[in-house]
Amino acid sequence: MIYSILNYLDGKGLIGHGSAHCDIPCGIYDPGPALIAAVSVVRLMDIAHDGASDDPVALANLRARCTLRKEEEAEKVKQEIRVIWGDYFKAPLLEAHPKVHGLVHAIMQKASACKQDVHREDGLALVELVNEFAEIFWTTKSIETVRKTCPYPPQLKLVYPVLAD
Amino acid sequence: MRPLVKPGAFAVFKRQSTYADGDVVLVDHPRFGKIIKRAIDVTSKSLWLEGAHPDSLSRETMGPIERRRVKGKLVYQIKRGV
Repeated sequence: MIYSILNYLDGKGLIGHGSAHCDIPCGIYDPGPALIAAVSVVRLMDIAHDGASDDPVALANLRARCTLRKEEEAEKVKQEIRVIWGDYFKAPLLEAHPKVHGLVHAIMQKASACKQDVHREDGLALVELVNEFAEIFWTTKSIETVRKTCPYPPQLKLVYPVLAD
Repeated sequence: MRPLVKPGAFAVFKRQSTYADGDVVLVDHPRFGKIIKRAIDVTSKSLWLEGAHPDSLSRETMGPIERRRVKGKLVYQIKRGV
């Protein structure tokens, strides 16, 4: 009854509004984009190594493009992980998962190594580190995960959440 | 602020001369507009904010708040269906 009266007055614009529900920005966090970016780093290294052309200029162009995109994808990994680590992980979650700080730092370092060079093992290590981060992230939401081969090159094992429906 | 403030609830705020750590306050935030958060690290000139939900904005994101931006302390709320 009281609520209905207030709701009526609210409809008349007589009551001010405030946001209590933390929806700024939106509470949507997902390590998926970071994983895709990490896999892209490996894929771009592969293309840079395996690319072939009779035209040396075309080959140089291909490798330049791969290098540029690899730089961007590695930076995207860092950005996506930083946002989840900085905005989503609060003190209670960090206490429950003390490994996160070291893991995030390792991801930053490894992503930089991927930018600096074209060692595939660095790319694979980056994917594995982000996989570990994704597993911890989904654990905080009580969602199980599974490692499946991604259905596109370079067909690496990635962590996916097992969603109810 | 879930579960402290329910979605769609009407809330009554009372302007105070002083606020304390733990008070749920209505703040006119320079970036996020009117938001309802828990006050922490309250001093005579400023305070910080935190949410009650794991997905809440971090205190660093919301930043320090000048006292003049605090519009009142939550004293009562009328939840949907009452």
